[in-house]
Amino acid sequence: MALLKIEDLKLDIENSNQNIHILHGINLVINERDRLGLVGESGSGKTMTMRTIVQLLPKKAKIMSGKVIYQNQNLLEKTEKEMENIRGREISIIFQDATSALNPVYPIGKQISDIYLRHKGRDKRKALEETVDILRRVSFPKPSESVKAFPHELSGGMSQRVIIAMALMCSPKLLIADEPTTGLDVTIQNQVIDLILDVIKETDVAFVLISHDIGIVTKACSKIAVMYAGHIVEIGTTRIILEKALHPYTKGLVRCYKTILGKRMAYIRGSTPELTKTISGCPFESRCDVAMDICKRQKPKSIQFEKEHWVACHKWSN
Amino acid sequence: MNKNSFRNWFRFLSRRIILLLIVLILITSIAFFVTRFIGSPVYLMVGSQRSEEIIEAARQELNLDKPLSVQYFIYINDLLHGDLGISRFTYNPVIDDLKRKLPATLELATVSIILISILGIILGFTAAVKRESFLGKFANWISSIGVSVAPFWLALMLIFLFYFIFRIVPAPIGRIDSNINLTAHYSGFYLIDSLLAGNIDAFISSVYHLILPVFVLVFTTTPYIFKLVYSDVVEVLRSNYIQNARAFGLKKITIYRYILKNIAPSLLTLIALNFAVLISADIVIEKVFSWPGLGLYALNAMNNSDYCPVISIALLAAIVYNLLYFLADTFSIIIDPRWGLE
Amino acid sequence: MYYSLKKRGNNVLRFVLINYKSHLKLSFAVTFLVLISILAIIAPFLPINEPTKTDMFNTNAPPSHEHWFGTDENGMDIFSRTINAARYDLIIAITAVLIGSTIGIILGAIAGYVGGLFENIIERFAEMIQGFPYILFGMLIYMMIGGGIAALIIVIMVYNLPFYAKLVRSEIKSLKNIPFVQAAICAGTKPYMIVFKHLIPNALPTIFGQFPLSAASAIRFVAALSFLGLGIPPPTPEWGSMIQLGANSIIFGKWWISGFPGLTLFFVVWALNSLGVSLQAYIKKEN
Repeated sequence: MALLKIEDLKLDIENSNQNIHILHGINLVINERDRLGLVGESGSGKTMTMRTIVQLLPKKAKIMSGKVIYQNQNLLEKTEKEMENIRGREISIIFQDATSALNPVYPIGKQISDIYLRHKGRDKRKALEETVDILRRVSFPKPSESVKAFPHELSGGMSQRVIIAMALMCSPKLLIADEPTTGLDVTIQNQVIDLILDVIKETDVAFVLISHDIGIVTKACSKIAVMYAGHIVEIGTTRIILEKALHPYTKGLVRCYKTILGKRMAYIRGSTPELTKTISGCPFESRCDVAMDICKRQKPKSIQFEKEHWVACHKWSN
Repeated sequence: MNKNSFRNWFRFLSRRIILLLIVLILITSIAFFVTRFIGSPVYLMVGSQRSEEIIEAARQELNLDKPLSVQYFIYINDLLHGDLGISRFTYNPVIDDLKRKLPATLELATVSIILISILGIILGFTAAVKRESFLGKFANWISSIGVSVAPFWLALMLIFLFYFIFRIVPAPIGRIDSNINLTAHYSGFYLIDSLLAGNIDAFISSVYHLILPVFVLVFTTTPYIFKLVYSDVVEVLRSNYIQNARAFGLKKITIYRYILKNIAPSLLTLIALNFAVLISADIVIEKVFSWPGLGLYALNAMNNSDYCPVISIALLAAIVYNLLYFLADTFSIIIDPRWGLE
Repeated sequence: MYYSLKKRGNNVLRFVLINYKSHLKLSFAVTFLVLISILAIIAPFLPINEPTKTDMFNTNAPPSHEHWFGTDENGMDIFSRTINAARYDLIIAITAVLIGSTIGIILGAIAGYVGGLFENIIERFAEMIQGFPYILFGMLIYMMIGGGIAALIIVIMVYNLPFYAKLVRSEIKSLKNIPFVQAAICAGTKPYMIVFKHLIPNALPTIFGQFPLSAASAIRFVAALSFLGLGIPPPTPEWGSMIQLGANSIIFGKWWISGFPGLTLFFVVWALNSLGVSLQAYIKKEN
């Protein structure tokens, strides 16, 4: 069952003299109980896509066209007040640096309770109960005492647990995690991912993990969407992506990942295109080893290659 | 509060209190040495043209013939008993004069600081949240004028405008119209006393007399609060935790509450400092409006070469400043637990 | 990032010239300051009325063709007094700020470099000085050594000291850890050379940005103290004492006696403040 559908989303950022094209027509479907990973290099548009869902975009960002359909409504048409009701309650998004994401002057218990009180009623005692409960669920040591702790007393991993607790407090239907592990120690990284997966195991939450680290994504997600220069170039299950990837970029990424495991360095030649120029053909064309004539002229449309496998590449569109 | 944080609190507070006491002792000692350097105290008290006997008698009475260390102890002893000397031109003990004049200055300072704080916070918040708005730019512009203008000149110009030309404020001759009789004396604050006594005329008159001096003080002091709130709020708005609070759908009011608590410590300290300044340094305003407070008292004393009141007020100013700073600091650690970890 | 002093001077000049048109307020401020400085310097040679010449037939006269700003109760021409007052105010402000800042800078630099108990003591002293209301301080000085220019300079000097000490101290502390300086320490350079040759010059840009602001507050001090009778005694023209002279006449409607000096005072202070703020913003951006 489709929980959220992004239809043909185009996003620009207005600079002083020119527009930077961030997203070029994104199409994405997120189902209930999905474990979707969104991979791509920095600047590929992964964060912007997810931020558009909750409308937490920078001031200069302008949505040129497209829809985000959630519960039969277009989120892009909603007012800020309506979005405030949705954020934290139906759709939660957590970001990278956990420690600085917590307000230093309030104890963590209060910050978590505030979210309950915002979305679910005014009973302070119930809020405290739920806070202790959610802290227990994220394996926070001594939950009933820790509610009085202040953020600066916590380590990075602990802070991240608090953030996860805040995100899941109101049992949202969609949880988006934007690079939650970047900057943490490798051992902590695995802990955090395991924790998230553990907590959402028994629930209906759909989970989207954004990362440039394909290793983490393959570990945590059942489905992967690959983004390049503001386009989605391939979507498939984790197994399909790892073993049967079709798009040259995806193949390159997977090759890099596998050689890391095998301790040899592979790379994809070239660099990402400039975002100010409008590209008429396939964005990956300049770095592609199997590029054809048509790749320069026409943008490839996304086609369904097999069950649970879509790709946008001229090579495979027949 | 667990055991550990209580220990932290204790350490923090005791350190602050000890520092406060040291500063107070230093200040009183400096005041002592200053008094011994002002010409010859005897001549100041008695005049230099008297006969030898009278001068000698005065010297003995003032304890000036005793060694310096003994004088110091007598001085400290007097101080702790509230004896600040006798004013030469009012013939009252200085401490009594201070008690009588304090409410006037305090009333002016209190009314002003309340308005300054409210105005500064509201303007600072609005300008920071809506940066490009008209109000933001206007507030910035007005505050640059407020810091540059000389308060006494502004006061005079306003008197000219609103008293001489428009006749909507009373003459600058004190706190209340001279034909109004206010006998109630609960707090020394005319505003409160007149209300408590049910004397509406007195209340209205006090308000009218307060308008102009308060306006000048507010106009010249609010910019400092405004600037602090503005820059702090701008910085907090950019922080990660505010972005996150928005991401979890918290209401705007909640976010404002979050921001306020974050800027509270430095804001509180600045307000406390400005309050101290208003209490102790308002001499010019009091002179222009003939406001019978501490400042005018000090000025008159000085013009009469009467040094006891001046020294006492200087002492009082230093004590008030350090006390308020200490209070602000203590409250800051309650608000922001990181404040005490240095 | 570590310019030589000469290059920095050029940068400031270039900054002013380039931004003249785009920053109207700042340009106006600078122009005004330059103008009044020039006027102040050439004041004695200007073909206007003598500032202390009394004209007893013409006292308290409103502005007229003969006396552009009117006359005060002694019949002295306010316009020429205003211009001449600029000389005293500006000179006192600049001198006092320079002396006070120099001492403050040296103390602050040593405090920042040496640290420890010395730094703590300096910090406490600075706090004490800053907390004390300057007017009361002026009164005490007046009672001890009388009024006049010496007293004013002492007050301004003492008041500016902690400001600069604190500023320099924090600058030095952050500069101490830059590899450049660490290298010099490793090479065995003597401490005082490090402080004077490396640390202070590199802290100077930030300090420069503070100068106009200190000058502005110094001028306000002088005016306020003179207003109370503690500063420059009449008949020497000074904005503060001129305002005081006119204070009693205000309620009779004679606004020009206090009005013009105060207005000029306001513009000078405002111009200096604007200059200081823009300079600080520019220096921050450069870093």
